[in-house]
Amino acid sequence: MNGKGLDVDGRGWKFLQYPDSYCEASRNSNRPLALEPTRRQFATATAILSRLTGVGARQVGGVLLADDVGLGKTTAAALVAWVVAGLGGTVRILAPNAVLRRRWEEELKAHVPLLQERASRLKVDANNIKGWETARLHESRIQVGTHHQLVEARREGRITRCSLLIVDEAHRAKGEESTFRQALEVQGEHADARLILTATPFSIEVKELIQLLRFCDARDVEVPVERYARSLLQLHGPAQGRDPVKTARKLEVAGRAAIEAIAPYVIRYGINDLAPSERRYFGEVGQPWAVDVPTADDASLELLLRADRLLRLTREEGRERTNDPRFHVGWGHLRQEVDRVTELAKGEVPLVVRRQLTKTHRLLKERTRQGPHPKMASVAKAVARRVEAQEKVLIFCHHRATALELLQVLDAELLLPGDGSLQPPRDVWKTEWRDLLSKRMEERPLTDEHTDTEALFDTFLDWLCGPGLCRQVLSWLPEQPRTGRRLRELFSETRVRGRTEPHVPSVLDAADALFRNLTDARSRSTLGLLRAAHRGDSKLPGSLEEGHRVLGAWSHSVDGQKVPSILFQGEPDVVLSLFNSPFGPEVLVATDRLSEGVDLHRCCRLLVHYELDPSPIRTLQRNGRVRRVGGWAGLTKQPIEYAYPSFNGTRDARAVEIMNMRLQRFDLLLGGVPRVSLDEDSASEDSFIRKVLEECGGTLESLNRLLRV
Amino acid sequence: MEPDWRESLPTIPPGYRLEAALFTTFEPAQPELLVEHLLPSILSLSRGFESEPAARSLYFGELALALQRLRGRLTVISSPASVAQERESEASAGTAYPWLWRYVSPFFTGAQGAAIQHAKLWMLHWVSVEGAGDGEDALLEIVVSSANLTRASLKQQLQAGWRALLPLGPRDTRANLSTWGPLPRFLEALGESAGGEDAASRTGAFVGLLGRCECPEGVRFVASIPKAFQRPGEASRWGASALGKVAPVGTGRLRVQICTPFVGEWQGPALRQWSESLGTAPSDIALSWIDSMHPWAEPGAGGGWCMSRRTLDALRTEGLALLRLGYEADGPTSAFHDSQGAEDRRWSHAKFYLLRRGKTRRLLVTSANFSASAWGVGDVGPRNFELGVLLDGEWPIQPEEEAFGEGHDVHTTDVVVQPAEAELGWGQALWNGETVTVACLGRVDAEAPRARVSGTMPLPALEVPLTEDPRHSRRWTGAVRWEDGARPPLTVLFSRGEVTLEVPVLDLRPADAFAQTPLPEIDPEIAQALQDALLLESYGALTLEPEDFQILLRGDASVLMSSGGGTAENYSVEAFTEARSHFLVVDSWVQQLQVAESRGDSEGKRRVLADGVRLAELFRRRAEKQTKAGFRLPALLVAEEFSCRLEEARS
Repeated sequence: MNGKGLDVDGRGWKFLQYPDSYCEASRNSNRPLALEPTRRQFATATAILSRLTGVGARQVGGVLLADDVGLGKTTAAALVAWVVAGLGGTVRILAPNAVLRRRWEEELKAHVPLLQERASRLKVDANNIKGWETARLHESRIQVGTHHQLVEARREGRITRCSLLIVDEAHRAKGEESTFRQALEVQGEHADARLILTATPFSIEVKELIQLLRFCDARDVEVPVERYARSLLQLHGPAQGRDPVKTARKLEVAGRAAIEAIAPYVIRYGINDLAPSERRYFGEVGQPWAVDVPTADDASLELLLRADRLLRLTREEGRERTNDPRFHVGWGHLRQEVDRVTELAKGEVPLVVRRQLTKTHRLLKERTRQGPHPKMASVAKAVARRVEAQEKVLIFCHHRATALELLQVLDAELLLPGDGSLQPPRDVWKTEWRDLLSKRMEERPLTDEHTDTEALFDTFLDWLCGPGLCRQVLSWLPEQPRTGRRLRELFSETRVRGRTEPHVPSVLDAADALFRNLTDARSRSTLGLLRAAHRGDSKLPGSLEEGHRVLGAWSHSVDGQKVPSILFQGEPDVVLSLFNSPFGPEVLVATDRLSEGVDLHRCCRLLVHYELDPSPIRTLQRNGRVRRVGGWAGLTKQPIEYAYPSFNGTRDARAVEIMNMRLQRFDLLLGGVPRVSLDEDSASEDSFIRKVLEECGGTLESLNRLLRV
Repeated sequence: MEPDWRESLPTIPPGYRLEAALFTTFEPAQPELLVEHLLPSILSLSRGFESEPAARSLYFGELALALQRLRGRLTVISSPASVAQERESEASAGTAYPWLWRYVSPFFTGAQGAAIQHAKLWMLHWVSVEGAGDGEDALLEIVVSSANLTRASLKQQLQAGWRALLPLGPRDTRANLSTWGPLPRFLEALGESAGGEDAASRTGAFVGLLGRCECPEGVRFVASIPKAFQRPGEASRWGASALGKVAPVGTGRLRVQICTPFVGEWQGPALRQWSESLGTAPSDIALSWIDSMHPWAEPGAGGGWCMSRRTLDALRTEGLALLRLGYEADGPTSAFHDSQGAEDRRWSHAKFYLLRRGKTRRLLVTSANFSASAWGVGDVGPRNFELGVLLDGEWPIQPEEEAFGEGHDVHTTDVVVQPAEAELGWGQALWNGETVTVACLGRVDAEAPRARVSGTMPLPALEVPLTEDPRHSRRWTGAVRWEDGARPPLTVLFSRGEVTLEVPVLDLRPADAFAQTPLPEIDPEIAQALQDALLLESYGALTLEPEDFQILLRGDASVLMSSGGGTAENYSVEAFTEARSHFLVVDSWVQQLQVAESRGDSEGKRRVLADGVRLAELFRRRAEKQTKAGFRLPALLVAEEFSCRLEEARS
């Protein structure tokens, strides 16, 4: 390893030509590999190594791996890392945070025995995986750190050389001024080769893609990519007087030039590019879930317009938002702002402010008296229908205040009558569950041993046999069991959530899996919570007691604001475990803290974007939470459904329209993005775009194939 | 290449707007020059004069509204048309745009007895567009030149002038005022001569501005005012004596070189007296002049240089040197200045005086011709108002003149200009919305003059019965009722025998009554809608284009307001864009109201309030016509806020 460019022996990765035997070797491990994805990941790893070393391909300084979320970018990159380190090089991996750093370590470790068996030329040892504390990177070592650690290292002037630098979730380095980006620039110069991983290499600006490519030492990409981006942007401009055929031809020419320019540096697979045999594990994306939200009525519009004026008349710094997006999706934040002005108006204020305030106040009072915000009410009704059909629903909000208001509206809509009496009685349930689950543990002991397993088990049983959860399980059973024995039979015979598909687990299997998951030693916060619950200091969330079926998960630190018990503010691990099981909350309201790097797909295929972040990356990342291998959609053979409800006639509707445009641009450039449904009639611009895409969509789509291996 | 004559017009300093202006001219200002050139150059208009009908109407509409805002603050003081006509064949009040004088106030010197206004002083008061209330951010522009306010004066003549743009302080001080030499007194006397209180308050306002800044270093004003306006013991401040006082001091001989296109009637004693006032002798005076073949010798368009044979003889007798301005019949047409090309047919109307003693040279750039009327001689003071600035500088004529040789005849004219009392020396007409009051001055011994007031055709002219003022033997006054506010009176024609004098009617109605006057030059069918549209435009609600005329013909300007279309990736929703753009109109209106209030401008405040009432009505009308809530609500909210703000402002 010396100088610029990676220099490794091509024979070192010959094993990548034999994915079958690698899968075979993994059969008896606790992580058996499936052939289809492994074959693709091996091909990707081979292509990356060829390009970085110039063996069998044109040598480049860096590669951008932009596979869709859930396709195993980490696996391919871990293989590349082991090949480089195994042949005496040094590798530095930068993960976005500590959770994902652990994941990298696990991924790297999982390959050690397989590589030792199947790739004898490589020097592979689990002890060669190092943390950030390693001062100097010796040969054959792989160091795993976080973005933040790199920033710190740069501040302390401790950045050292490596043969290969792997940057995960590299889209976070897109801000020109961000300290991470600056640190990365420095580290990039101290690496022979770079591998960048991101499913979303650009957000709103295609310039971001160019920046990442520049980091890969890409040449001659700026002009064609910018030209193509401009053509795509113009696609959404005024349609008047433009010929769709001519526009399509121009777009094709620009598209070809751009894709050909970036192809040596970019590898991208979308889920749609996969073979059907592999694709089925992800589930198909279905038609968008259309949630019918009424158009803003005159009174709502008047309220919003008055509030805008009122806040403009009273703002002090000239910077306060007077048409805050939150005003259009809930009344809570608006009420807060109006209250603030009311407080202000206790002093001397101009007549015009006083009048506007009185009228705004009156309108707001009338609106809130009539019930929840129209969008919240509509979404809650639509969600309730899906919950009645035994589906779990994941809802993302952008602001915590909105999330809290929505959580309460959903709770009111979905609330079941009080706990009432239970048949068979609770102690029967507890006996049967204890018996069944204990047997399971005897047959297959827990992976992690705990000294207080009994206590943990008791706590779990208490939770599982609460009236809310028993009622939930009863709703899945084909009959009302009269005896403990029948109950027990039904637990084993019945699949969860009323499903019948062969891969859907039985109630018993699901409960067993949930307990194992909750007691996994890696999630210390969940174990801590179980123990605290055992002591009576805390409660396990999602027990569905008192008819609550909704759970919120974010930390809500607004002074003096009382938060409901259905909002869980601790470490999210326990919520993830519960939502990924058929038990517990039917609806999870989350903020974007849960939009990246976590799994929420195992029991859910329905996602509502209640509020959008302006960046399409966020949208794609959120979508990726439910579209993953082994998801509920794949298990139940039902489509994944995304909902983009919008309060028409307000800024909220524009936010959805703009998101659609941005996703469309992203899709045209890199492919693989599902569309947003728009409730409004297609405007002339939309029909123009449709005509253009009818003309050239196929060509552009086939161009994207150039980015596959 | 001949420079564009329009470049000599004052223009708006960036970031400022006109607050008031005073122009003085010998001949009455020519309305065409003002309407088509001068006003669009100094008013913040978004369009210029056009001849295409729709664009022309837009221009006149916008001009009228801008002028309405400056009503009472644009002033022109000239000699009466009767005097000017005697001397300049071109002088005329003009028949085009008679409505102009409704907005721009014309005053004529001579109200207190014969006095000729011959100075060419322009003073422009600029204030910051931002509208700093305390008046700190303001400028005073002063131009002193030889140019009258006629197109010919700027287009066909060469003029000399001096210009300064001075920042104004917040308060006027005596110390500042004292730096301006005779200028403040000159302005006072001018106002007095031009008809009493009204004119005096206009010139007085500019005296106030002089007190807010210092005269630039190295600049001295030299002025003349008629003897009748001089205070006791003040004679030496004016005319020839004043010029003598600013001549370079020293032991050597003072030499004087003069170049003016008009030389008055001189005789030996007067010339000697004049020279003496300056502290020199006629033999030390040189006059630059033209020979008889020079193109400027032609009267009319070719040139107007004028000196009688008798005067030439007197000058020669007294030993005054004559220098010939470079011109050869077969050579280049003119050699007045290196920058004047051969094809440039303009003749010089500039007036220069170079005072030279030893190595010191001072150049006077002035309105004053070389005449006793301009300068006064001995105890007979000047008859004219004249103004010039004295600067350290060289003789500007290039190349240097030569003496007249044998082959060159000195150009002289047969006409002898003698000051004579005019048959109708001065006139004035005032209208308060109910009555037109007229006054004129005539010769003592003549019969009573007649006066007829007329308005827009086809209204018949009304005879005004005149009676002699018992306090003033030469003054005739009268009044007649005129109550038609939609068709205001325009001019009064005084006549006595064959002699006539036409004066514009000064409109003295209060602002709200004045605002009802129809826009000039505009089809009455469209006038109201256009006025509304221009009002909206002036508060930033829309930009009018000639194509909008068809819509205006339907009678409602409010439909022209459109919301700003956003780009494809704009989060704004129609209703919000609409509301915000409408509320900008309110904000802009509030800002103007605040500026008027902070300046203590009660007239301006009344006008802004009247605009507010109309804007509220316009938005209400717009709301009624909209069926979509996204358009209806914004207009309604804006109308509501206007009403609320009007209520607050009135209380």
